[in-house]
Amino acid sequence: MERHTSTKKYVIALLLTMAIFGIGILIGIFFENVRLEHSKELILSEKVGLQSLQLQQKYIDQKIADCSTLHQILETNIDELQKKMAEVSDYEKSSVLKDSEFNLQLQDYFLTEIQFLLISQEIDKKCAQENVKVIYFYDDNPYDTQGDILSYLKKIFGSRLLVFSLDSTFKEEPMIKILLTSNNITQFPSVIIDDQKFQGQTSVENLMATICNKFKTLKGDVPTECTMLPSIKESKN
Amino acid sequence: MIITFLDIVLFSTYFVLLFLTIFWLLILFTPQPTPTRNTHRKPLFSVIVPAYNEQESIEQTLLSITKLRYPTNLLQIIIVNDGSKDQTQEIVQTFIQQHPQHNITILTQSNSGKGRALNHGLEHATGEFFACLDADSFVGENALETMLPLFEEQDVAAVCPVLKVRKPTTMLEKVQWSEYIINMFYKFLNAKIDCIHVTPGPFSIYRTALIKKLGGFSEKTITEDLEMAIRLQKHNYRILQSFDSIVETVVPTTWKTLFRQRVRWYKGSVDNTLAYKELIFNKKYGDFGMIRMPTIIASGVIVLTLSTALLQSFIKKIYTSYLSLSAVHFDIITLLKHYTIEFNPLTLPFFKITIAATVTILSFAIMIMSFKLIKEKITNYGKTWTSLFTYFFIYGLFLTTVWLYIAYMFIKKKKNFWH
Repeated sequence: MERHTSTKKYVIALLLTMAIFGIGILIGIFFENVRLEHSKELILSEKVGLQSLQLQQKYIDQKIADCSTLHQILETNIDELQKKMAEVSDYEKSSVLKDSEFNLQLQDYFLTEIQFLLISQEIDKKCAQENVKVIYFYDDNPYDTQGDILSYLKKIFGSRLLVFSLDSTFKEEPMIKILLTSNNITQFPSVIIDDQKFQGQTSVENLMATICNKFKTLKGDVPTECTMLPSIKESKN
Repeated sequence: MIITFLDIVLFSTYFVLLFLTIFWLLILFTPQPTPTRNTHRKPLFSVIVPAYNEQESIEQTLLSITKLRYPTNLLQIIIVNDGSKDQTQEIVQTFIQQHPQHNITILTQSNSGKGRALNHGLEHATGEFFACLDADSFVGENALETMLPLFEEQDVAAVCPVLKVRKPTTMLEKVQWSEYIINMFYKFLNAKIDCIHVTPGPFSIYRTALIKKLGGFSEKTITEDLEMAIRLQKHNYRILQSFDSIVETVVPTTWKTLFRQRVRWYKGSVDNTLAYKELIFNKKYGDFGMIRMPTIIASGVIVLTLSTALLQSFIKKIYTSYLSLSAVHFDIITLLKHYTIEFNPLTLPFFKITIAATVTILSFAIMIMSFKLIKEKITNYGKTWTSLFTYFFIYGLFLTTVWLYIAYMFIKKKKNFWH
């Protein structure tokens, strides 16, 4: 039998495979652009909220702006910002061509978050504090569970707990390094609750106890979940 | 972009699978010259039936041979009892007595394996052509009428029939029924470019003198049908596939027996491919060397690499989930109470989805074409959706464990086994 090699078919199959892969890549690039546009829209809504808050807080002294409305806006925006940042972070991880644009977006998000943090501190000076603020610094450790603990505590305490999470490895934004230095953070993960600092992994019990103790000093009731903690029970008694 | 080991494996696997699928579809649409047939010749024909503990089915097997539409005086039937411990010998002897008009001989030997049994039968075969028929398989009446004419050209060494699962009733049998049909489709494609790499035990027909000249069946391997086909290919003989003759076979009815069978088959294919490694990527053997031989090994490598990468990723996910839950003392109730579904379609991996969708659609198309070629309906025998679901999603996992076990056998240098 004379042997034949279907060389032409191998070449055609290879070209068609590469073409289909090319189509897949183009579809991926198209959606990368869509994601970029989407993340721009998301941050725009947050920035509008921030600007509104910044303007409204100037009228607190004149008692024209309402403290509880400001707290509500702050809480809603921070919650939304966290979700949107997670989305943009996912987009950035899977980006191929728009890496630098996504990094700019993330930088924008982090700056917006820091501005929210600063304005919340301003609002607290003028209004009775209603919520506990947690600043969380994380790095690229995939086994870090501090974020999961804070998400869990967020589910328990809802809008009374505001979490500001900052990526310590994000070199593009110098403000993050400034905050790290000003708070003397050398270990990750780190959590700051008011003036209390926790460096390295901190257990859910320790964080919950600290947060609950903080709630005692704030306007409003101590959440019922806190009354389950021994230290809170004792102080009530 | 973060590229993981799993991404690299997935992309490479997709690329290779897509390439092979497109290649075989191109072969599908290539017109093939009709083989020359001589329908007039009726030479002496031998059927060799190796049997080891086949009391359940051997009578039906012999009955199917006697029903072949072929002159009785030109048909020689040789049963080789390979040291059976059950009633096989008695059943065959009774059958011989009940069918005195047929030329049936029973040979006995101590248990020496199928290869030895076939060669023992071959020593006594007087037919110009012979076929092996496993004692759990049943040949259609028209087999010789449709297969023998294909030997018109002298370089045709073997002709294979269509293999189907006999009357599948359980879900597992139905899954194998689908698998056999799809395999027949691939055989159809392979036959178009002289790439058939196995002449199955059930009723593959051979030229007697040629097989004797080549030394008969290998007694060193327990997949002698694979070894014979590769040997024929090495000597540049043609192996044709007939789609007009059907042989039905009994298949394993439990996952355990199926597992052992597939380990035997796949390990056998790898062992034989490695034994003939000089053919791999050797242009001298045309498409058989350039694509068929390499894909025998490649399929196992792809399955192992993909399963390792997926397993690694899965274990990592499980571990990180465990750590997350452990950090909150497994308070699943709180997590479920506040659980919200947040699905953002923009986070889907569109590139991977495009490629996976292409491969899936092509796989379905191949499945539909397979059933059409073999003239079967997917809805035959019932249990359609369960068996299709099992075939596409669970059977793949099952075959992965087969390959994992074969990898283990290679590492531990374990020999292939029959039972």
